[in-house]
Amino acid sequence: MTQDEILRALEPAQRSAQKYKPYPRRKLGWRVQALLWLLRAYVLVAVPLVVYAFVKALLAGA
Amino acid sequence: MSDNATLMPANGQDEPAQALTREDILRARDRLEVLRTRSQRRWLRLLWLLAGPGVLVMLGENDGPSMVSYATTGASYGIGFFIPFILLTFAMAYVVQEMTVRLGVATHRGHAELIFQRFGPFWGYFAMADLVFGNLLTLVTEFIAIQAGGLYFGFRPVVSVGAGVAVVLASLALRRYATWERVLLALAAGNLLFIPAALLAHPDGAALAHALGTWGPLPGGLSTGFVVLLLADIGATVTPWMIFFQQSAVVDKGLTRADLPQGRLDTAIGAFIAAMAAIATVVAAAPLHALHAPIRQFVSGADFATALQPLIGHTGATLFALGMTEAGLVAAMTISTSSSYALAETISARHSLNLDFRSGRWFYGAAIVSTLFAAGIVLIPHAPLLALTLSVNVIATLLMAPALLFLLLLVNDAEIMGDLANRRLGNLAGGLIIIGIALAGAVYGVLMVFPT
Repeated sequence: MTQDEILRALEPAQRSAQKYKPYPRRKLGWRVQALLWLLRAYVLVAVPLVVYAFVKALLAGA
Repeated sequence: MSDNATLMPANGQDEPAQALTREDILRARDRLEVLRTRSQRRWLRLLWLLAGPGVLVMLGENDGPSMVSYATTGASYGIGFFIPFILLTFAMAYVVQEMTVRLGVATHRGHAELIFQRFGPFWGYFAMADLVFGNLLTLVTEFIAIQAGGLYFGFRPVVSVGAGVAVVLASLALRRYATWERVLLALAAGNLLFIPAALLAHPDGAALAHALGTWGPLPGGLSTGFVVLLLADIGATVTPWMIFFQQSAVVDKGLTRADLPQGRLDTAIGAFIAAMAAIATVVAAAPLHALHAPIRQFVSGADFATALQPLIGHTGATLFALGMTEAGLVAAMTISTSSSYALAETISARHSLNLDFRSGRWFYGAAIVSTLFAAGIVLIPHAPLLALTLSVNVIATLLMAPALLFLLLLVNDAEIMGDLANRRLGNLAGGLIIIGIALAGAVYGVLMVFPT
């Protein structure tokens, strides 16, 4: 397979040389910022629940 | 680059290609075949070439714990409300997974790397860590399913789990996405074993038609047990690893915008086949409902197979046990790969099943280490496997909300999506499903933690 064939078959963004180059950070509007703060609050509630469930199950298993 | 997408990766897209890699060459080979087939207008062949990620993700989610959940549903409620409900959950799964196909073809980036790049390291590491942790525990439950299936056939745990590890590692050793995918598709066809098992249960066609038409009956009515099973079946259909896996697989396979119709069809076919397998599992286990079998004492899919033997015969029970084992094996392969993609994408390491071991040491290393770790845990004598299984359900459901929120944010990011960004109707349908699944997941998590 020649280099030309490879270049024809792949879109530029599919080639390794481009595929691993990052997109820039997104500028977040206030709505998205608010959603992410809600998500932080959700995580703060969810993580202790997960830990509690795991410990409880471990104790029950023991 | 995607049409109308205004944003380019930081260093631009128009540079001449530099050193072509093994990954480029193998992907280009697959793409040339696709381009040739499209120009010849051989549509079925084109679908065959482009199908894979959608079917694999849907059948991969019909994993060990999911099939146990469907079997419990059949044994608890028989043929009734849950038959159309399962169809509805797979329709929801299609809507969610279709978004990942669009993200993949529009950006040629995996889900984890998009979160990292667009929302920053905090959310990038968070998404990766919760996925990899959840996947690790889920992987343990898949090897529990493999072990349980092996025990049904009289194999010692070390033999069945060792064989499972060998298959997972051998698939990675292929170092070729297209081959890996076809091998996995062949194995995933084993999910259909539940269909002959269901036929051997001699289901009442009229009862099935009645259930589909009326969403009933619902023996026992609404109860906590019913709600838990309802939510467990939702959790058995849409989970975070599916989002990460399908987007990365679409990118690794090399799908482009032109392939979007086939990508959607692939996902729809996968959802349909997986729904049929899930319903077949409910139907196969339904005879246990009439007998009021003590399913609360069952700890694995193999217990269902043993209990079903006098009802659906030795062949039916064997098919059921084989299906359970296959479900664990296929899920172990897809879930470990999902962790690999997420980890490597987040730390900006190379990530593709077309890489050689040296270039893809982080990628393959993550799958190998997580597979060996999960298998090792299952083989530890007196390991708290039931505790791990319960925790997996809680963690997966509680962490569903963040995954779905980032999916919706990314698919609305017009800078990277261009004209493939969600429209109003898509946002309405997707938003309602995401809110519903996130709430259901939260309720399920709370019910598991505080059952009373």
